[in-house]
This record gives sequence, structure tokens and C-alpha cells, in this order.
Amino acid sequence: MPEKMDVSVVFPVKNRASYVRKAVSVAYKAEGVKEVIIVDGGSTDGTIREALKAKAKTIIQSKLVYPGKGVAMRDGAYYASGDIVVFLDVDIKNMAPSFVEKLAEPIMRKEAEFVKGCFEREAGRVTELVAKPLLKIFYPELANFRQPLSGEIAGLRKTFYEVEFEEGWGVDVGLLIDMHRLGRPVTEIDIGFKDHEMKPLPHLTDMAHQVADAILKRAVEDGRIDRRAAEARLRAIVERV
Amino acid sequence: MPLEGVWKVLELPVGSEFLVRVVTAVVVLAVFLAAGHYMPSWLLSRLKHVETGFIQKIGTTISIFLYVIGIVAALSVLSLSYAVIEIIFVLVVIGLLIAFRDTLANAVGEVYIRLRTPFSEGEWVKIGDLEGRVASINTFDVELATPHGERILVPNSLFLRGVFVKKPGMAGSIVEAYFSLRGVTIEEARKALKETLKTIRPELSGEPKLRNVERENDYVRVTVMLPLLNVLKAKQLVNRAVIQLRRKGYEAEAL
Amino acid sequence: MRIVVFSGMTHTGGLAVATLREADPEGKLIIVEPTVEKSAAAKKQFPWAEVLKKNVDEFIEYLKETAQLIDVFVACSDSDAVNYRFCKTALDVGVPMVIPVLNNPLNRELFQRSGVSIIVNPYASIKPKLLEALKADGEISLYESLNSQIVLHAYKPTSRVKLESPEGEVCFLAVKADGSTVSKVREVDKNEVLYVLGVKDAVRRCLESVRAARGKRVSG
Repeated sequence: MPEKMDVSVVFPVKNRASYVRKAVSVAYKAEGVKEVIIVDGGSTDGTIREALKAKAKTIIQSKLVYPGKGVAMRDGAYYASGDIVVFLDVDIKNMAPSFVEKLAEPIMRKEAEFVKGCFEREAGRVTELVAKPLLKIFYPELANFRQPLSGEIAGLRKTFYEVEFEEGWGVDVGLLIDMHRLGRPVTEIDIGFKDHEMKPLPHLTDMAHQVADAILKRAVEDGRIDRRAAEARLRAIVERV
Repeated sequence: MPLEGVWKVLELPVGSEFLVRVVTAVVVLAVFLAAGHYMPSWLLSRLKHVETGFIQKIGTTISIFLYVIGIVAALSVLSLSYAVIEIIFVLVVIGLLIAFRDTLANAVGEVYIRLRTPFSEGEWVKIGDLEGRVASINTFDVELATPHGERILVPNSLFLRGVFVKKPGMAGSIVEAYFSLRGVTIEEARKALKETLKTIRPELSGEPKLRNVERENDYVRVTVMLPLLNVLKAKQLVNRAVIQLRRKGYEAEAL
Repeated sequence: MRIVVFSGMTHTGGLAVATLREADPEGKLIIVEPTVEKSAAAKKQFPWAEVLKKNVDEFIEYLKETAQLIDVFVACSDSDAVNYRFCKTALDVGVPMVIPVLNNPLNRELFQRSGVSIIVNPYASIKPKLLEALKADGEISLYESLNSQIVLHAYKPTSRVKLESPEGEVCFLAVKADGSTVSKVREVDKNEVLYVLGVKDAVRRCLESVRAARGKRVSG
């Protein structure tokens, strides 16, 4: 029988007014959810107004940088008061309460303290060309994660206070590696089909750079590669993408 | 008595014409009920700069008003005599006023507080003997966090009649404390207190002062002024001072 | 005073700690840091302060337990989210003065709604300074005191304007085109800056009258 734990759902958003109301109301329907938090990255399209109407707790992220997903996630984790924090992308077209419940369940069952969501879709280009090869080399123990860059994440709130959040796109894989380094039990769970907007190509270059940087930085810290070799590899990856 | 007889006594119309009026009255009522129902969300979308909670309350008030107008309009469509409508209306209004006289006064109080903004959440107010930081402004009351750590609810209507003082941000208090030292001279007591007060100075918001030092039989009574921002710790600080004095060998008491 | 600061050892936090020390050198200053590294750095940088290492949850408990002793709580970590949670807790447990230092000025309203009355916005000087330096004419709001009662405005006229303000309500100072300052100001001309200090309403009325007088040429 899973332990009764409160869940805080955090949506990092920017200019997603058309999605936010539905996402918040769906998240509130999930079992155990005590609060839904919108961390806004400086929207100009009325996202905050929609979030407030949907009765979400709303804060504007502390640092308005692009890409600031990591800053938003850190603010969300700090703002949350539930035992479990679930991060979700707001622009999932088929958003369902089961996404939240599936992500939180392994933590409630005490099988994991950090959960990565994966979904029935081919992993993206940055995942296949950058994240997976680098993880295979430097963190082979994490190489079996199907979607290490997935933004669908759940974790014990307290464990998020023990790690530094990357500011940008490197945050998802950074958290995965950091939780593993801390010795926290991590797992991946299939949350089903996710109907989601793909990022445009120009964004992928930035993303690839930051994901590679997050992995290589940690590999250098852990003595798995020297700094000069890491920089050379980073250049090669960006050119490849 | 047959039904038609009842209609005649009450001066109500009879026949199919009345049925049409009933249908029309229902339609009129439905229109007003719908208008009242959607009023809060319409206001929310129009007045984005005003606090959401306050607009919702205003919207609810207007909704109730529209419901009442709807009922009156529906009654008038029924072509009841003016006397009957007026009596119903006056009775309803009198009933509402009597039942909710305090509530209405408090609600008016909130409108006054929100529109005139004599103070807002977080500010320090004093009303009569009550004093504290405004924790929240509600429909019927204002929640104050007092210097003694209590939460009290002050009815909004009091702010319509009472006098209140808004204190500046750095408001603190001067707490008077009394000490007595046995078997010492006035000078010795003064010196002992000055030294002891130095040890609690880091907890004070300014320099403590000896206000009065006087002899009473074999005691020296000392009045001390303690500037404090958080008056809750006054007792603890006075006790700490007494312990310090006793450690130094004085027979000291706090009065 | 017993001042508790959650500094996060940011540049802003460091500046705030130094300023709090200056405000009450005799007071008790307690710096709280979330990590071992940051608390060690705080001990080294501020040897005169008491430094505690507490994570978010521990600090919230600490605030609840020691609220009766705390005079002032200042939150200046680099996350408005964590600052907000701490400020809200401090207000709820009755800390008399709660002061957040904003990271993002857009969060001001959030803090205001929670009941915080003193909010430090480190970016507040950007607008008046730039306007004072670059705006060619018109009014510029330069300063508003803590309780919003006293304000300082600058006024750059487009032509000579005679000043008609009741004595005692506001103070005038003018900086002439040659850089000299004048305290008894009767009129102000183009390329000069008039500074008006006073109670908010009086300054507003005064500037309204100056605006009304604009265009009326002063003889001589």
C-alpha cells in the first residue's frame, strides 16, 4: 500500500496561455495533488492571468534568462510544499491526471526518490545523438534510460534541495546524474503516449550544447575525463548536431 | 374556495393570457439569473488591475442585485398589482437589512478599506485598544497579528467609525521594566544595571536607558526603558538580566 | 536587534549583510546558509556574525521555533520562490519586520499580496537614474520614502516657469545650467532642473500647478 504523500505539480512555462488553464485543472484532478505551481519565465501572452484563473500558485522565475528551464524548475522546487514534486511540460496536448499519478507512484511506494518519465515516442535528436552516447561513455550505469532528457520528472522535495540546478536545457540530465551521484534510487517509468510540440531546429543546437556541457561538466568533476578532452568533445558534438 | 375566486381576491389575472405572462416572467427571470451568474467572471476579465478576490466579492454583490431585480421584473410581468409587488419587495428588503445589518456594515467597511486604502495588508494599525499588523482584509473583518503573537479579527465596520493610526515601517515599542536590588546604594544599583543591560543590548533596537533610580526601604528600585521591535521577547530579556545580576552576587528581582 | 538573514551568499546577500551590520552595529546578526560550503564562506567573510547551516525545511522550523526572539528577517537568496516561502512563514509566526530582496521585480506583487510591507527592489534605481540623466523635459520620480509619504521629484522645464507653491509644503532646489545650485527658487528655466521634496500630495499639487503655468511666459 503506497504511503499517503502530498504532491506538488510544477509547470515551468513561458507564453503558453492556451495550454495553462487545462494543464492546471487536469493536474488538480490527480490523486494526492495539494498544489499546482506555475513558474513563469516572463510571459507576455497572459499566461499568468490564465494560471491565476485556474487557481494555480504562480511565481515569476527569479532570473529571466533564455533558456531558463532550470531556473524555473529550481524556483518551482523551492516554492513547493508537498512531499513529492512533479515537473511536467505544460504543452502536452493529451495531458491527463495519470501522468502525475504514474510519476509519483514509485516514490509513494518507496521504490525510488527520483523518477524520470518516458513515453511512447521516438526519442529526439539531441537525446539520440548527444545525451545517450555521452551517458554510455561516462555514466554507463544510466545508459539504459530511454529518455534521459524527458521533462517529466518526479522527486522527493527534500532531495531537490541537495543538488544544484543547471540554468538551461541541461537541467533534466543534470538532475538525473546528480541524483545518481548522491546515491538516491532513480528509476524510469512509462507514462504512455505524449502528444507534444517538437522544438524547432534552431533550438536544438543550443539544447545539444547545454546537454553535453551538463554531462561533461559532471564527468570532469567525477574524474571520468580531463577538462581539455571534455572541451574538445563538446566542440565536436555541437558541430555534429 | 375555487381557484378563480382566489385570483380575484388577490386581483390576479385569469385564463390563457396569464399563462403567457408566466412564461414571459420565467424568461425574464432566466435572463437576469444568467446575467447575475456570469457577472463575476465578466468583471474579472474587465478589471484585471484590481485584486481578484475583491472583484469576485463585488461581482457576487452585483449578481445578488441582478437576481433581486430579476425577481421584481418577473413579478411585474405577471401584472400583479403594484401594491402586492411593493409589499413583497419592501418585506424582502426589510428582512434582509435586519438579518444582515452587521454583515452589510462590515461589507461596506471592506469597500471603504479597499477603495480608500487607508491601510493595506502588512501595515501596522491601531484601533482603540487593538493594535497589530494587518494579516488579511476579508469581506467582513480584518485579521490583525498582535505584538503578543495573537491573531484577532476586527469587524470591518469598526474601521468606519473608529480611529486608527498607521505607523511607519520601523515601528517599535519602548518597554518599561522594573528591577529591585536589595542592600546596595543607588550608585551601585545604577552601575550594576548599566553593566547588565550591555549584555542584552544586542537583542534591543536601540540603547537601553535608566529612567528612574530610587530607594524604597532597603531596596533600590530601577526603572529601565528597553527599545524593542519584537515586544514578545521583553519578558525573556528581563529574566536574563535578573539572572546576570544574581550571578554577580546581587539580590535582584524583576517587578 | 536580532536580525536573521537568509543570504544565499549572493552578491546581493553579501551587500545586505554588510548594510544590516551598519544599521545596528550593536545588534545580533544571524546569517543562515543552506549548504556547508556557503556557511563556511559566510563565516570567513562575516566573522562578527553568527552563521547557521540550515536547509529550506530546517530553516522554516527554525523560524517557527525562534519567532518570539527575531526582530527582523531579511530574505535575499537568489530564488524569489524560497524567499517567498520564508517571508510567508516569518509573517505567519509573527516576526515584526519581514524584508525580502527581490531577484525579479515582477514578483513584487506576489510579496505584497502575502502581506510584506517593506520590499527591497535592487533594480529600483535604474529607471530614475536613467531618466534623470537622459530625459530632456518633464517630471521624473526619483525617490519615495518607506511609508510612501515623502517623495522627491525632478522637473525639467521646456521653457521658463514661475513657481507658485505655498510656503512650507514642499522644498525646492534647482540646479542651474552652469551647475550651480539655488535653494530659494522663484522660477525655473529651460536647461535647469528643479528638485521638489515634500509630502506626496503636496508635491503632486505643486507639480500640477507648475504644469499649468507651463507656457505662460515669465516677463523679464
